[in-house]
Amino acid sequence: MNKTPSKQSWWLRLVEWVDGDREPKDQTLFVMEQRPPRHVQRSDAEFATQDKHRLHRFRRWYPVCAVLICLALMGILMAAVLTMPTFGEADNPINNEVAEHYLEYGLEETGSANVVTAMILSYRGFDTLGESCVLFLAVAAVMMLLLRDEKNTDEHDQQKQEREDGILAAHPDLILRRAAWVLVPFVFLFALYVLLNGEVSPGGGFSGGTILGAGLILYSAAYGPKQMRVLMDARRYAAVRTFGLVLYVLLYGIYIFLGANQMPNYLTGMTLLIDLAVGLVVACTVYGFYVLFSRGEF
Amino acid sequence: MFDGILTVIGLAFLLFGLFVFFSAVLGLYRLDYVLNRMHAAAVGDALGIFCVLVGLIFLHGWSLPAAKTLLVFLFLWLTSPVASHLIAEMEVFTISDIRKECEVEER
Amino acid sequence: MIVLEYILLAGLVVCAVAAPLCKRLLTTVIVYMAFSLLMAVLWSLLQTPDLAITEAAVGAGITSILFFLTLKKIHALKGTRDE
Repeated sequence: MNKTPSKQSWWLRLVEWVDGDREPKDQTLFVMEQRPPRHVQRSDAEFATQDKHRLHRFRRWYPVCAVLICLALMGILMAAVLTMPTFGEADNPINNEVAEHYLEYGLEETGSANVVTAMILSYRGFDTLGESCVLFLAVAAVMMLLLRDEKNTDEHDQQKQEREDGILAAHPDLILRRAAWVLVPFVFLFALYVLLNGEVSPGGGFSGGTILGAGLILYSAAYGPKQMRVLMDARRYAAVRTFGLVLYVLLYGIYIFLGANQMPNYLTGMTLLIDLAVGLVVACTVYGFYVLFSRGEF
Repeated sequence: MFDGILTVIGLAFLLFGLFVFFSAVLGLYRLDYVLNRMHAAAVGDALGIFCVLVGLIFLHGWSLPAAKTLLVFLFLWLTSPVASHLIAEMEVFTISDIRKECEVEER
Repeated sequence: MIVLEYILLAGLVVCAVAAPLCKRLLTTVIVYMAFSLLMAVLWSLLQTPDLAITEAAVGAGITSILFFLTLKKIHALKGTRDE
């Protein structure tokens, strides 16, 4: 593969390495089946006994070490709990002016009656932006590893997949389909309720988005990938996923801009839209994980 | 007087539901084969949920949470049998010598 | 109510101990699911319904689905080995 590695630029070498065309030098610490040097080559029986001996030793010490580590962790955690202040005391360190400010001015500053939503999406919205980015990148990483394309699929896998699809298409599960036909609209309705009602009641972007993703998973499991492609194919999926994150970034940018310039906040429906954006990102993450883990393509 | 009767009815439903759940768990442990155990769990589940939720509605009186409880009950009665059906179907598909254990209907 | 809380906490400890001690991975996943459900009830008893909804949806639903799919992918479930 690599003809003249020294003459190529480091960028080309990196690209080759990322594509998997070029093997890095074997500098790994733990090589499982490394060939022993020629002068100390042993017979198979010797190998077997040595392996058995090592396995035996491992089996003997592994539980002991595991229990010791667990006990140490438990001790540390118990000690930490013992030194914690009593639950619900008035003069605890968490009851300072920050919490008071949130509770007092949360409604008028953010326009959401649920203090948790106000905190997650407005006061600490930057953290939530980071979380949304983490979810987005997680799906991207899983896609890199598990997405099926011509390069990483061989004939055998393709045939197996086609056989499974054929079985599923020949014997559609009528009971599951009927149940899903009744349930999926209500699941979506409940998801939207939780999503859009996050301002005034428990819920919000993360839980609503998860329920939305679960509804998509139910639909996909009941009706198969062919029907699912009508609702959401790869392009639409990518569009929705990106749209959620971009919407969040834009809205929160406006939010930060308004707040930093001491401008009055007339945008009362802001939390609702941010909730919707987070919900879209989370739903796409959950559904994408399911699809990529189960089939590897949309 | 009326309240007392309602409470007694509710408690009776609740206790009967708990008994049904207990027998379902007992069946899950006691029976040997997968389909039998699943049957015990599924039947006990459906009847137990019905009895417990009706008992709760009687105890609580008719209100908005009671209506929500009815919705929960509807949802569980819709989904729990489907889940059991899927488990049973998977068992029938994956076990090659299912005919030794029970009779299977051809599809 | 405090009795219920203690029962749930005991259940949490039992589930947490049982999950790594199970012989089969499938059992471990189911025990973890039970752990998540108990945790969801406990969150709602601790008056954090937001967390309860998320825990019930993510912990008991989505995570178990992903675990099952992973087990299927690495052929650790009965009947998914292709022979």
